[in-house]
Order: sequence, then C-alpha cells, then structure tokens
Amino acid sequence: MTVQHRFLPTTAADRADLLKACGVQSIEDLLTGIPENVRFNGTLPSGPAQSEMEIRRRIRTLMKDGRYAKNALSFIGAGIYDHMCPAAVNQLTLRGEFLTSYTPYQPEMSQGTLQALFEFQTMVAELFGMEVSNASHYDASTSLAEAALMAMRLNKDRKRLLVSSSVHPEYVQVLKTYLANLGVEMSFIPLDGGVTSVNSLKSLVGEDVMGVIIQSPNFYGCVEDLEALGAVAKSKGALFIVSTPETLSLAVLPPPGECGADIATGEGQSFGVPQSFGGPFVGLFTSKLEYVRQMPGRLCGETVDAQGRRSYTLTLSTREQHIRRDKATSNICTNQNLMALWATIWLTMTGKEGFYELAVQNLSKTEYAKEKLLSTGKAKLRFANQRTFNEFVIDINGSAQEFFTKASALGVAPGVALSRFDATDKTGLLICVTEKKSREDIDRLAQLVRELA
Amino acid sequence: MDFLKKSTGHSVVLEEAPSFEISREGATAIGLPALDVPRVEPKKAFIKARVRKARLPELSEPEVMRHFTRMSTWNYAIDLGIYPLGSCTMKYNPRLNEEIARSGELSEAHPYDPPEWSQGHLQVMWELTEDLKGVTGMPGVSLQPAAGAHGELTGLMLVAAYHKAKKRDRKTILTADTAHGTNPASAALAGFQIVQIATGEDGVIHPEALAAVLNDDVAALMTTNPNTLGIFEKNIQTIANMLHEKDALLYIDGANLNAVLGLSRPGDFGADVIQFNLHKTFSTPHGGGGPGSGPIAVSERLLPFLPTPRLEKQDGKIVLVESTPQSIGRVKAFFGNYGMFIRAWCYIRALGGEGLRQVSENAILNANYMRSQLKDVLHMPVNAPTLHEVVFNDRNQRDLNLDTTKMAKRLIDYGMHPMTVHFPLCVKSAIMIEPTETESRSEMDRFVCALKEIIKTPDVEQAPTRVFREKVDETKAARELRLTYKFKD
Repeated sequence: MTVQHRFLPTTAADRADLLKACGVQSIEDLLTGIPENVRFNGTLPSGPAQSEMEIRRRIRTLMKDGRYAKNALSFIGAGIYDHMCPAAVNQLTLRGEFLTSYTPYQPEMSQGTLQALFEFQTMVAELFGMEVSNASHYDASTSLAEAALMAMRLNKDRKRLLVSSSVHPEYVQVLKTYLANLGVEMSFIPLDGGVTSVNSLKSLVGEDVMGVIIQSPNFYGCVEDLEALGAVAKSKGALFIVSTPETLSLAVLPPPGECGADIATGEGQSFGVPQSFGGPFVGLFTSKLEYVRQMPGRLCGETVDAQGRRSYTLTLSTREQHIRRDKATSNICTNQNLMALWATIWLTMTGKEGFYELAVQNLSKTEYAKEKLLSTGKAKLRFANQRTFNEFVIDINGSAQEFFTKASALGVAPGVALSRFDATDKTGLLICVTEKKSREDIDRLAQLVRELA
Repeated sequence: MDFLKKSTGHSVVLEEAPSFEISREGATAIGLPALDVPRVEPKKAFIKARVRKARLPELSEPEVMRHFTRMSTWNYAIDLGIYPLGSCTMKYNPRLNEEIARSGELSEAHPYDPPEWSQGHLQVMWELTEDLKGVTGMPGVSLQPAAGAHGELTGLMLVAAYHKAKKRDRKTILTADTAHGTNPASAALAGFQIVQIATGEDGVIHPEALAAVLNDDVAALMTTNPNTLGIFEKNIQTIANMLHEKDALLYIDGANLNAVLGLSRPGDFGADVIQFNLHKTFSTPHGGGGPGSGPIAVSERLLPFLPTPRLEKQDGKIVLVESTPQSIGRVKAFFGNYGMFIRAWCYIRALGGEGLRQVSENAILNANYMRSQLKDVLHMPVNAPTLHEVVFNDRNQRDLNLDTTKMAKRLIDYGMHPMTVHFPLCVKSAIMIEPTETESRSEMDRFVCALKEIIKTPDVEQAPTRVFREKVDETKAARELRLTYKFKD
C-alpha cells in the first residue's frame, strides 16, 4: 500500500469503493487499453516524494548565490525592466478565482476575467494610441513574429520584410525561426549613429515589401523617428510595424499609433511583472481596426446578457484555431491571461499621473547616470547625439566583459556587455536605470567605473 | 441534495463598473520616493514628447483592491469546485509552487545576470529537463516554447528541419480526426499541409488507414496519445514502425500525457517529438488562460535541430550554449517561461517518481468512476477501455427537449463548470468529461447527481439564470465590435 499523498483526495477506502463501482478488482484492470508491449514497468527517476519543508530547504540552498541572496545591484535591462510593483498586485493575482480559473469560454461564469481583459485591451490600446489590442500574447518577441505573419497575410503578394538593425537581437532570432519555412526574404536596415537610417530605408523599400519593422526605444536605448520611418514605409504600401519592449516609455513618447503604425507590439513586463529569469511575461499586440480580422490571439468584446446588462465575452473567435483549424490566423491557443491581469492591476494602481511620474523618474535618473559616468573620464556615450529613455550605451575603457565580471564579483551587474550579442563589440556596455536605482546606487556604479575600468 | 437548490460561488456578488468609470481625477494607488536627482522634463528631453497623458484610471489603493476583488467573485475557479473539462485537465494547483515562484530568490533574477548568480536557476532547469526525459524516455528536451501550441509549432519546425537536412521537401502532416485544433493550425504555420485520417469504430488509428495515405510526401503523423476519446492508441507501435520505414516521424501531442505518467513512455514506442503542457500534466495554474509553458522532448533523430540556447554541463557548471550548427534557432526571447518551470519542478518533487504514477492511476480511476455512473443515462459512441477521460454524446436525450449545449449551460446553475462539449469533432455533440485525480468521490457525485437531475427535468428553457450574468449575447459582441472602452472626452 502506498503512502497517502497530500494532493490526492482518494483514500485507500475510497479507492476500494471506486474500483467496485467500476466493476473491477484493481487499477490494473483499468489499464487493459494500454498494450503490454508499450507499458512502462519501471519507476520514473524523479526521486521520492518530498514535503513542503524539504522543497523549501532545497530551493534556499540552490539560490544561495543568486542576485536576491546577494542583495546585488543591477543595471541590466535589454528587454526586461526592473520596475516597482505595489504589494496589492501580487496579492490580487493570488486570488484563486483569478489564479485557478479556466479560459473564459463560458462567459456566464467568467465575467471577472473578461472585464479585466476588456480593461487591459483598453489601456494597452490607449498607451499605443492604436484602435485595437488583443487579450495578450506570449511575449514581445513572439508578438513581433506574429506581427510579421499578419503582414504576410495582409500583403499576400509581397515577399520581402525589412527589419531595422536596432531590433533586439533575440527578437530577430525569433523572427528568423518563425519565417524560415514560409518563403519570406528578410533584410536589415542599417543604422546611422544609433538609429535606423531613414535614407537607407528609402533605398531598400519597394512595392515588394510587405512590412517594415522598427523598435523604439531601440535595442541601444535610442528613440527612433517613427514618424519619418513610417512615412517612408507606407509610401510603398508596406505595413509599418513597431515594437516597444520598454512600454513605460509610452508615458512620455509619442504613441506609435500617432506615428502611423499599422501594427504595434510590445512587452507588458514593464508593468511590474517580475523578471523571473526571463518569463512568463505578457506580449502586447495592437493594430488598426481595419486589420482586426487578421489579428492573432484572443479578443474580448463588450455585449449584453439576456437581461440587457453590460457583459463581456470572447469574440471574433472564428479567426482562431479551435474553430478554423489550419485556416486560423494563428496557432495560438492561450493568451497570457494572469500576466495580463497583473499588468492591468499595475496600470490601474499606477494610474494616469503615477505612470507619467514614473517615466519622468526613469528619464531623470538615466540622464543623471549618463553625466556621472562621463565625469569618470573612463566612459563615453556611444550615441551622444541621440535621445534615450532609460537605457544607453557607453564605450568603456578596456573590455566591457572584463569590467562586467569584475563589478559583478563585487555584487554589481553594471549592464549588459554587448559582446554577448556581437563578439566584435568589445567596449560597449548597455546600461539601464529605472526608478528603483537611487542616486547612491548610480554613484556606486560610477565609482566602480572609475576604479575598475 | 441541498446543493442542487442553489449555485455555489460567493453569496454576496456586487456590481462593479469598468475602472474608467469609477476613476476620479487626483486619486492614486502608488507613492513614489521623492526624486533624488535633477528632474528632466520629457518636453525638453525629446524632440517630440507625448502630448496627452494616457487615460489610465485614477483610484486609491482600497478602491483598486475592491475593484478587482469584486470582479474575482464573478469567476468560477478550480478552488471553488470541479472543472470536468475533457482534454483541458483542470486539476488543483498546489500553493507552495506559487509561494516559491513568486519569492524574491526566483522572481527577481534576470537572464543576463552573471553566470555565477544564475547557477541555481540553471540547476532547476537542468533537473526539470531530466524529469521530462524520464517521463517520456526521450533523450533531448527544450524548455523554451511558451505554451503547448508554441511547443507544437516548435516540434513541427524540427520535423521540417529534419527533412530539409536530408535534402527533401516533404509537405504533408497527417493528423487524426481526434486532433486538437492547434495541431492543424501549428502545422500550417510551420509550412505544412494537412491530411486527416479517420479513426476506426474503436476510436483509434488503424495501420490500414495509415497505409492508405502514407507516401513519400509525409513528413510526420501528429496524434494525441491517449487520444481525445481517452483511448490509448493501441496500434501506436506499428504506426511508429510504418512511419519510420518511410523516414517519416511520429509527433505525439502531449496534451493527455497526464494519463500515462509512469505507465507508458512515448520514447519507448518510437515517438520523435512530444510537447508538454505544463499546466495540464504538472499543475501550473491555468490563470484564466495562461501563462502556459510548452517544453518539448525529442528522439535521437531530432536532437541536432533543437532550439538554442541549450543547457549543457561544462566543467561541472551548467551553461547555455547560444548556437549550434543545425539548430532551428530561437523560438522565444530569453529562456522560456521560467516561472512555470519552477512550479512544475516543485510539483514533480512533491510527488516523486512513484507519486507521478499515482497521479495518472487516480486520474484513470476517477474518469472510469464517472463513466460507470453516467453510462446508463448518456450514450457512449465508442465503447472501448478509456483512461483519464470519457466521451459521451446526447443521443439518449434527443427525443427529450435536451441537447449537449443545453446540458452544459444548465450545469452552470448547479454551480459547476460544464464539461468540454462538441469536441472531439469526430463525435457529433460530444460530451467530454475529465475529472482529474484531484477530485474526491463526493465532488464527482455532486456532478453526476446534477447531470442526472438535468436529464430528469429536460423542459427547463432558460439557463443559466442563477448567475451574475445570464446568457451573454455573443452575436451582438461580434457584430457591434466593442473591444475597448469608449472614453467620453
């Protein structure tokens, strides 16, 4: 007889009753459908069952050298941003009614999730200045890949896709993987002083280009001239696709929708979602209303119930895989619901003024950091003429990777050495300064540059 | 049977308008420390700044708390009761997993942290990888895909890469008529065409049916095992051999892997690729529809093509290898939904190898109990041994004023989430029930009792009525598209 497990309500006595009701002697009698030649008779190698105490102890041991245990200081951003998060967000997302509910296919018993999604879509569309937002996607990298696929559907007879060289390198890798078997010719728009070259785009764009992809603020932290780039893209009928990994910047920068974006995507991780070593995050996906039927993913819409009361439901599901199967706009089944809820609560708490103020703090601290680092005499701004939000690149005296290693041994991750993405880039360090860094933190970084670089 | 008289859920359910309507200028729910550096105004910093502030709601902390708490009471949840959704596998979510995944140790780490800080996280990923290899008996795993459907897409990209490396252009993916909608959708996205195989009267794929469509254009067969009828594909070994003779591959949709933990391993019968849905098999919370996590396991044949980065051990340290020559590349930024890995890792440790088998055994026992209690009232279109789920239809009810959809909607008035309906597509008006191993006998009896009561009283026209919102007008939602709140200004 096996030990009773805490996750399983069926006791030995229950088991006997259930077997009897099934008209069998043992569990084995219920397994006759599995042919003998494909039965597994061993024990899975996952060890013995552990108590909560044992699991907690193991985790503490494993994480003893981690960032948290070290109380380390970090200036790493590069697509994941360390922003403040009010305690209530975590508490609310722990409510079982949100955490343990199913996809809201039965609107009568999931109005809570649905209204939250409707608020999410409203806020995301408002931030991007776009007409429509879906109910979220896996993350920004896959949102961008889906945007490219959407451009393929909307511009069926065109084969080329232009991508700025300032898009996050990992997003580009995802794009390449997604498009590998679909006959799309992808080429890159060169940069001019840290931002996408408008003139190069002019010479590259043509009637055979389905879409143009620009990231802003771009991977190097620089703000792109979306309006100018969008105008060039659209002059040849290409769809203008914008990616915004640092969506807090939308508080202070012109929304992509006002710069002519046809599709605008981004990362909702900036809305207080934990960094969690890279996920789960929440991909944002917005577009013009006229393209909504080609949009991937779930959409929540407002309607009424049998008594005429305001209600919500998933809508336009005829685009989706469970109805259209191989003709669906995407294979995506889920959204990133709990993280979308997280972002919704965070945005509601941060509010109109708080969201703006938070962005101003990021901007101010970043400008302060630039000055401080320059004053060391051991670092230069790589793109001194460009405007940035909360990230920028410095060229450091000597090797950026060596500086990174030395500083992190002292408990400070000073940014991302760009050699991680381009081995020829020896001196570049991408630094992110959010509202969570105090003046002392920034001064400490500058001090380390002075001493170690 | 007192519970039949009223639905469950919260006894006090309050109306709550969208946040934009209760917003009041000047209110806030956050406090920021005073700015300790010189203030920089966006208008000065940028050539062009945003002109109008985004119209986010303005509410105090207590108001936000009530707003979302009230909304939460409009939801059904596994914490409230049974979710007998066949193939969706809604099981209890252990709370230690939440505590650990949300703790600072795990939630504050950044994937670009110095490798010395990240060893613990990589160790967790390494161990989960080993667990998944163990469960499937397959030699390679990638944790990267963000959800089950994303895992399917990744798996099919591997299939494409395999044939491409052999310098041939195979365009056909075979699927069974029991397949999930994501299968054909993922195949299309990976550049394939679909040919569907009809299952036999006993609910499984027959070698003859496969032989009829198996040719040199077939890249792979994609099938769920046990399939969506809850039936183990008894010819799977023969099917695998037939495919491999043509150098075509066997893709197993792992959506129902929760039924066979420790009982059968796809690697042992020749599966080449399988995706895991961590929420189904390893109990990461459904969250109202995500986040998911869809790792894949592969056979020797597909090892070279696995996505990058890959976990490797070098000099006793775990490292992530960024590129390998034949890899399909990256399918997602960073390393996958790590927060979900942690939850699955905790779940697997809590159960252990033996416990995982018990999970499947109890899931099978519960589903067969449901079958035994309902087989006299509901028709079973395919009468074969079933594992973790069972499929009926409404044939016995058709002469009554009752059908599958009505039965489902009426269950809501008994305070229960309906079962899966109208799926799998090979069964007309299907009723698909999967209780999972975390339901007690009394919870299952409540469900059976409610369903029998509904069948005994077929003439109730309106349902559901004991709910926060009655029948929602889905046609209006699609016709008069309102996807965002219309602000007054």
